[in-house]
Amino acid sequence: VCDVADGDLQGRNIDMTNKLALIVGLMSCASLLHAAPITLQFTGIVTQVPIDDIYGDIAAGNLFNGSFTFESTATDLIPADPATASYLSSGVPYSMTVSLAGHTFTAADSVSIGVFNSFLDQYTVLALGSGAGVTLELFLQDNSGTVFADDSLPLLLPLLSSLTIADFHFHEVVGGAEVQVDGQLTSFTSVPEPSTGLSIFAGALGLWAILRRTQRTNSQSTSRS
Amino acid sequence: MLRLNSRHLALALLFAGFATNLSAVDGLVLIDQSRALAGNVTPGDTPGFPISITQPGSYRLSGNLTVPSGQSAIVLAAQNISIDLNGFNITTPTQPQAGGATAIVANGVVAPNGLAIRNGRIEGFVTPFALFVNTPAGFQSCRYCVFEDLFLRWGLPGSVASIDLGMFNRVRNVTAPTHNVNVYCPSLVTGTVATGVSMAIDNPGDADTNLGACTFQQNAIGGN
Repeated sequence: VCDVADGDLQGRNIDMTNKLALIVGLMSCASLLHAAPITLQFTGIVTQVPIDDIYGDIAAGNLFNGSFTFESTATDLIPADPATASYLSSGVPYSMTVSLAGHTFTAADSVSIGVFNSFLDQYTVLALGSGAGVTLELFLQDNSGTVFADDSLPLLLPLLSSLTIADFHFHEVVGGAEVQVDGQLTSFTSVPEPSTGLSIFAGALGLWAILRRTQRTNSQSTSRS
Repeated sequence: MLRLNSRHLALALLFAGFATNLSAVDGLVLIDQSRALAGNVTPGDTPGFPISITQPGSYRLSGNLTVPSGQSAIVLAAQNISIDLNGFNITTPTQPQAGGATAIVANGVVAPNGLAIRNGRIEGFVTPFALFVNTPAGFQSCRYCVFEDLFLRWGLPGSVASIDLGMFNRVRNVTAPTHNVNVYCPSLVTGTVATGVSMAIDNPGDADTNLGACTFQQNAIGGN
């Protein structure tokens, strides 16, 4: 459809409405090809707090919820290894945020997703923030090694019921003081990215305008002939 | 919700300014599977295995390391490195006799002298440590190194491998049911259960040589 629109731009004398419609359509095509952030949400429960020199109010049994956003088209940084992959997303809007015991922790410097497809399968998310003083991590493991077929980047989290381990870790260092929190994940959900939806809507609108204009032009040409 | 006023914010920013290294507390660097896959554990460490430790310092596992078959877990490229396995495991599928991987290896350039490895399990690798470098004087293994409170197991039925260490080493409370522990003297091996504990055989072409007596105390030898 984008090729047709491009051909229209080169080969026809089109009016302003058509141009506008084509621009919207082409922009939407470009945005669909462009990198798309994906946000996944999770909830869990704190299982232990080995060290808490900083807050003093985080305890086992606390519930937490959070989300992380990553780049769906990130490339594998370990291409030579077919069993192991690492995908880096850095800069806005890539981050992980967790709400826990009345605190909100954000790691927004980078999000690295690791995929290990071998004698067992693993999926790790490592988010670093605040000059790497904050670390938020998810660790998923399937001992049967059947969750992943290869080491490509999954756009959704695997079913919780298919996992042997689904852990959460939070670590923060402030001036030599440290907090470590371990937890267990209890649910995953995906969040549709608003910009993706808007792009699709804008694209559909643009294409609808193109088709409608083309039909009108064709019918006018037919009635004239 | 987190309650912040301007004074708290200023303090937080001040403290944040002192935080210099990712996952480091007073120079301690944490390592787990996600950090291994992400890379940059130390400068020059690329994503995935093996993890390259290029700087002296204290390293601690904060989770198990699961290593693909045929690959090493950690490559050492500096001296005076301390690795606390912190009760966690470094595992790989049981390696074959020929071409099987080693868990922790020297990079072949820098002798990993002053190494300390403690408190955890290393399983599946042919041998847990290969700490040799080729110096102008010949091959040299780790010197002034400490290995303690470790469980080391290869796991290939009926097979035994060697852990070859240099001079001035201490091996304490190590359980290695599929390994012989060989050391150049002087060294101390105590409280160790292994298929063998012995003084290394002097090889004229090696940089290591036996300079004195080794002490082997309260070890249990045999098995497999």
